[in-house]
Amino acid sequence: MAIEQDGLSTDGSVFTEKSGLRAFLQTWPPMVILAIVWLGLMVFIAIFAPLLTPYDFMAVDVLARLKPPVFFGGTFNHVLGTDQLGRDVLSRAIASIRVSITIALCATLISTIVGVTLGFIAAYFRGWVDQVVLTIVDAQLAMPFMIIAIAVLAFLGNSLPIFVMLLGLYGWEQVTRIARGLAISANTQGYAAAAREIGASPGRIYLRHILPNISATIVIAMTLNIPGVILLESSLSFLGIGLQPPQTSLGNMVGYGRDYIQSAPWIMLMPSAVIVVTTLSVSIMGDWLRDRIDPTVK
Amino acid sequence: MLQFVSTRFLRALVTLFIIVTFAFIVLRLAGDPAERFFDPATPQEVVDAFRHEWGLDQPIWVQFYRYIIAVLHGDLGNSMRENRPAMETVLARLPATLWIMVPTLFLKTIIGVAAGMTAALYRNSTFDRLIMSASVFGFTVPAFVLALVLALIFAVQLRWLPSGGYATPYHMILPIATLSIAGAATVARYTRSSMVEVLGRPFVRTAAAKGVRSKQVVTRHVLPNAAIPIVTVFGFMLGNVVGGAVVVESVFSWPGIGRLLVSSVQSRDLAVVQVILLLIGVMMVFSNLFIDLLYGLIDPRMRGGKTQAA
Repeated sequence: MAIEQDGLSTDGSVFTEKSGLRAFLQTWPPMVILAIVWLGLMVFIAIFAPLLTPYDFMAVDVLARLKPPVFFGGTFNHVLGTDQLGRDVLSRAIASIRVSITIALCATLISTIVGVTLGFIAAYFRGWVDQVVLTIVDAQLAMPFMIIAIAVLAFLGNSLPIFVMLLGLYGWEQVTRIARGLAISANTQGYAAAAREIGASPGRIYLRHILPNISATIVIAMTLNIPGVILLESSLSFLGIGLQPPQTSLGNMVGYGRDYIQSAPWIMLMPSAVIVVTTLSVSIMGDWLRDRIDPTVK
Repeated sequence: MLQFVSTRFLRALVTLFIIVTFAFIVLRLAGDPAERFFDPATPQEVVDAFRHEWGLDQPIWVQFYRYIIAVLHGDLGNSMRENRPAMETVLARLPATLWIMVPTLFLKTIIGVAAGMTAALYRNSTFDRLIMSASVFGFTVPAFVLALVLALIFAVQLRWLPSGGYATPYHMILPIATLSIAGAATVARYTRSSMVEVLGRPFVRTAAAKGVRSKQVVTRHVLPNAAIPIVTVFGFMLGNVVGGAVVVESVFSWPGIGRLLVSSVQSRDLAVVQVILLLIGVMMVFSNLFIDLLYGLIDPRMRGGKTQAA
């Protein structure tokens, strides 16, 4: 990404007068504000989902099957319509958002822990340990993760813990590479050497000194990992090999809704839109964070 | 040059070995095949005989060795559903997948590189902004959503194209369009940023200053230097197409490997899953090897035999 140079003025001064609003919009572009508001809403829904659902997301009502949303001939009883079993689409979407967001956050946390640990181990031992880690990273980069995930789910069977652990491996290789590189360069800096001189243990140097110093970059890498996890989870659930019913997730809803694409497209359109807007928001926010905090990561 | 080629080959072999090891580990983690095969009432002697016959009573290292030998012989077990070698089942589906993958790879490279180049050359123009916004959507919209939306518009509403199946060339259009749109967006983004970077280098300015025509500056000076990152994305995109094919084939009922993979997972036809895993692994490793060798061809500086450090 090129560095924006619009802020430089022609008279050679680095200080320019800006109106308050323009300055505000330059640090907080409208798209970023929208993205943050949307993500805030998603987190709010994820936390308070049971209080927000107008119906039980599993409640079947055969008399109210395939009711359209409110402005397409439906009623306010089911604002977003109902699905093939008469379940309220809004309630299911809220429950799905909770599941999908929770899984994405847990998985990203796991992949960050795995990635940072491996990166630090590689950076501390160097030599053949480093080579082994780098070779596994290369092998991971060579295989599409989607295929690995499907194969593991086929062999190990599917349960929620296995599914989350598996998604938690998504993107570890990126974090490992970043953490390894940063730890190696941090080792050559004064503070790590100083800590070593006064006799701090390697564990202390890495966790108390180096980790806090590189955490901004790691957090950005985490943020940029989230859209991928959401897409992977929803794709697997869509194919019917991810989250299993009666559990519901956004991909799951789209997967079941696709059979009714002709008669009741709202069943799949609503969760699809949520997936797209959410991944879009996370990547807008991630790019913005990266440009603001640390333009060196890519 | 010889050292460059041989290190790349060695790396490809190591990666293949890791993939085979991975397949072996998940296969073993899936549980004792004897337990899956027989019901609990089977006499112990029968189970033991089965174990002995398949070498399951041997130490794990011997089993691993035998597994590698079997893989090298292409002996990967039978498909439970079709009762024939899993390899045959998978290879029968390969042409269908290639029919959508090959055109996709061509289309998205051509569209992506052309759009990215134009965007870079007319930087900050309306076209540039349009391409860049489109490319953000390209990788935040999941393949299955794009596929369903295209099906909703072109098959359900307009009735121009079939929504699924394998009968005529028209059936190929929607799957290829889905995969190409997403891929082209990413290629365009990388092409643009790589071109923008090269356009800012001093030798481009020098070339322009000494009067080289702008068309020549682009084809002779900028493109060769921008090619490396573009080629890198291509390797990465191949993996994406393979992953995306699984979803797209399922949506459009396309009888390729991706759909076979999904249905084999659902019926737990593990031999088929394993063959597909290894086949894709081999394919990815060889295409990455090809790309690595391509680097050496494009950029003589890369022939030193050093791998890029992370």
